[in-house]
Formats: sequence, C-alpha cells, structure tokens
Amino acid sequence: MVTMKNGSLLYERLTALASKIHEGEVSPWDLVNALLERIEETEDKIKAYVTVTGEEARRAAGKAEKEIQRGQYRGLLHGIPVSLKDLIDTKGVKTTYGSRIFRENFPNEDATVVKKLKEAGAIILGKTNTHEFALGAITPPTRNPWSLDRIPGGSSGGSAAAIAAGSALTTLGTDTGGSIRIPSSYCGVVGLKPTYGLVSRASVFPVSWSLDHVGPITRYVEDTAVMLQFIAGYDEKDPATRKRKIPDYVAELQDSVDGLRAGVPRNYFFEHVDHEVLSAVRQAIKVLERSGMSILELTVPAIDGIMGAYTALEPAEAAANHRRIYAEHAHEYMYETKLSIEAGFFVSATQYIDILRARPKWTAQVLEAMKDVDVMLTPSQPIVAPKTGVECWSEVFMEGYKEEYERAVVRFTAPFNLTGLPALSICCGFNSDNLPIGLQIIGKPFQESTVLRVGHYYEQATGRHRWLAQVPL
Amino acid sequence: MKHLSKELVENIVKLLDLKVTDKKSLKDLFELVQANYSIIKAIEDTMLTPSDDPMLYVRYLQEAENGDNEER
Repeated sequence: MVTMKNGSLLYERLTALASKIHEGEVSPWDLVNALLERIEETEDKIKAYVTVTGEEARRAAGKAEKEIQRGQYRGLLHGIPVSLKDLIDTKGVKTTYGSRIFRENFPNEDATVVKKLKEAGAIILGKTNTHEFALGAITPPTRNPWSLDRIPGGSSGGSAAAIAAGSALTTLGTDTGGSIRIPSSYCGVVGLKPTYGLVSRASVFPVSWSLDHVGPITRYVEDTAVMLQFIAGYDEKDPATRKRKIPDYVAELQDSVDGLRAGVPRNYFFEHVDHEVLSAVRQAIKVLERSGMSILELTVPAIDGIMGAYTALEPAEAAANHRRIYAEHAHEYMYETKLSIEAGFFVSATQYIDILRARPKWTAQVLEAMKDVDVMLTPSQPIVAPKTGVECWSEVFMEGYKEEYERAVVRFTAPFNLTGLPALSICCGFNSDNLPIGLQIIGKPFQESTVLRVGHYYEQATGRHRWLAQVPL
Repeated sequence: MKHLSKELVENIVKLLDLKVTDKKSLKDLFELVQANYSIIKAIEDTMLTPSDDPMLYVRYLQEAENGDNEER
C-alpha cells in the first residue's frame, strides 16, 4: 500500500483536473497520454481492458483542447478520459459484452450514457472487462490490483480494477445484483448503483430488465457525483427512466451530515460476515456517529421474499433475453453461464407473476422500515476479494458459515436491485492481508445526494481514499 | 436428479429446449435449480390477496413518476 504520489495527475479528483484543464495548466492530450502509459505499465498484470481506443482518444483530446482554447468549455467532464464497461454500446468501437459470440461486434450507435458523456466533452479511453454477459461476479481474466492472486469481483471487474490500478480516471459499470458494488468493495474504490430509473440503460446489453442499473465506478465519492450529474435523467429510449429535476450532486456534497440519521439493520445484513469485515464496518459507523449523525437500529422486513424474488427474476429475465442467441450459440457460452441461463427456464410463470404482485409491497415495507432514517449502513460484502480460481458455485467461508460464492456476493447488494433503492459502496478499511473492505450506504428513492454526502464525509474524515493499490511492475 | 426417470429427464430437456444434455451437466443444472428453488420458495410465504394485481408494479412505477414530474 502506498500513499498518493504528490502531483500525479492520474490520482487527482475530477474537479481538480477539470479546473486545471479549464485554466490550461493541464491538457487533455497529456492526460490521455499519461493514462495510456499507465495502461501499458499495468495491463499485462491487471488485464482490466478489452479494448483501448488510444488513437481515437488522442484525436478527441486534440479536439477538446482546441475547443477549450477557443473558450468553448463545456464543463467538468470536458477533456476528461472515461473508461466504459464492455457491456455498454460504443459506436464503431468493438463491444463484446464479455462474450466470444460478440468478439467482432461494432455497434451502430452509442448507448445514451455514452452520448451524454460525449456531449459533456468526455473522451472515451477504452472498454473494460466484464464477466461473460455480466452473468457472474468474477470477471476473468482481470486481476485485483491490491493482490494479483485475487479476483476483482464482478461483473464490472475491469472498471473497478482499472480505477484501483490508476489506469482509468473514471468509469461506468452496470449492476443487476451487485455488479458495481461487489468489485468496488473488492478493489477499494467507489461504486454507485443509482435509483432504478435515474440513469438510462438504452443500448446497454440487458441482464435482467427489471433489475439492471448503470452507474459510476470512481476513485472518489466526489468523482461519482460528477459522473452522475452528467449521466442522470430521462431518456425516451429507456421506459424505466423518470422525468425528474436532477439535483446539483457536486454542490450538495458540501452540506453537513450533522443531524442525519442512519439505520443499522439488526437482522440479516450483519450475519455470516467475515470478522475483519464486520470490525471495519462497525468502526466506520462509529466515525459517522462522531460526525453528529444519529445511529438507529432497524429491522429490514421481507428479506427472504426479496432474495427469493431476486433468485427467480435474474435467471428468468436473463433466459428470456438470451433464448434466441443461446439457441444458436450455446456452445460458445462459458459452462457456468449456460447453467445460469438454463436455470432461468425452470422459473414458472406463476412464480414470476407472484413476484410482480409482491414486489411493490416489499418495497413499501422496506421504505416503511426506513421512515425514521435518511440512510441505511451495511457491509457491501460479507468477505474480501477471494483468490483466483474461485468459480461461480465454489464454496466460500465466513466464520465457519459455508455458502456458494455467487450467493454470498449478492446477499447484501441484490435487495436494493429488487427494491430499486440507491446504494453506494466505499472503502472503509483493510483486512490483515491488506485487502479492501466495503461499506454500503443505502438511501431512499432518488436521494443520491444524501447517500453521496455521507460517503464524501467519510472519505474526508478518514483519508481512506488516499491509499492506493501498489501494482507490482 | 437420481429420483427422476431417464424418460422424464429427456422430456424436460425437450420441453425446455435445454442445450446441456450430458449427464454431468444435467446433474449440475438440476442441483442449481433445486438450490434456487429453496430460496425462491420464500415468495410463497408473502401474503397476497386476489386484489394484488400483477399490474400493481406498473402502477407503483407510474405513481412514483407522477410524484415528481419536473423536467431537468
């Protein structure tokens, strides 16, 4: 573990870089080149990227530089390189969805989030690795920059690993059961799954329509606020998105957390958790309590039903989505992905309909349990990053409790895909092997500002965000 | 799977158009389905009445949308 190198552009906050770019102290060209050098240094060990669009990025950087020199500055993302999970369509740039079937797929248009980033002046640097079709939480062959014999988690493992390795400034990921928060927790970075309907999923390859979310994975909470500012909002191409006023997420980070109330579940979320994870999360809660936040215990209701529904919905919707591709290309899917999809064929229509009937009730019950608090705090994960070689259905152990990896990793995250609530993972410490531990901060629908404010306060109070993974070169 | 007749397994494979057909893969698949079902079963414990229409979820989303309809 090393502390931030003074003056290293690659570890600066986006607002600081934006200011330097605007003032002409830093050029987008230099920034792109610095990142390409870092990718060159780290990529043979980390394997975070599927595609690096170096030449296109240099061209876009030159264009951004000229625009800014002409006084046509577009805002905080102008001239900032962004890396995207390879599940997100990019016009004319190879987009594989982590699958051999799409190894030569060059989409005809950008996903809405990519269009928004480009309109803001951001530069697309490359596409980051995902687990095949985002149907798993391992992301082979990407490695965890904190320890190369560990996995980064997934399915947005490439994005989180690239941030941790310093080979990306800011990224986007997707999250169906935890795919932003799981790798963020394992790689010691910041990941936000926004409220369902805040960010468009148009032209992002679906895993499960009613559970899928797109969100940022970044180094700092403030960077997540910057990214959200530009990607949030209504999109006629995504029927889940809502017409809402988008707050100033960056400005609202500065509001005090004094007086906010945080709920800590007395059930489920602190059960079967590695003792070092538990200790770090409890310590983080104390830090927030010392800031003037009130900590209240609460019980999260209907959790068995919620996890039952997730366990049915995710494979059933994935199976429906894949049915046609799978019929022709089953032999090109990874074995475990095949099993996940085929398991979806066994979910009955009556089960699916019952979930539709019960889902609003469960969501209302969870919100009722949160009525006296502003946020809820839980561990992001019950474990730290497992060693490479772990498979989807390998058993992992938490204080003597045995569970399949794919079930353990969604235990604390998936409930907020089913209920659609915003959930942020931030690094809240390290275990004795120097592996990062994640704290999850959950908010009420569309209250991202509050969630981000709490995360930002924690970062500022502890300085955790200044610790960087040391990739052996 | 050992409790299922060969004929029944073949019918399941055909009906659901499964692509995994060898014994080992089917065993893994049936174990996964069985493990999933033990978790999915919890939805049966949810109190539902005939008035709990599946379109409730659509209405729930519409109501949430109408709650704040101001454009950016």
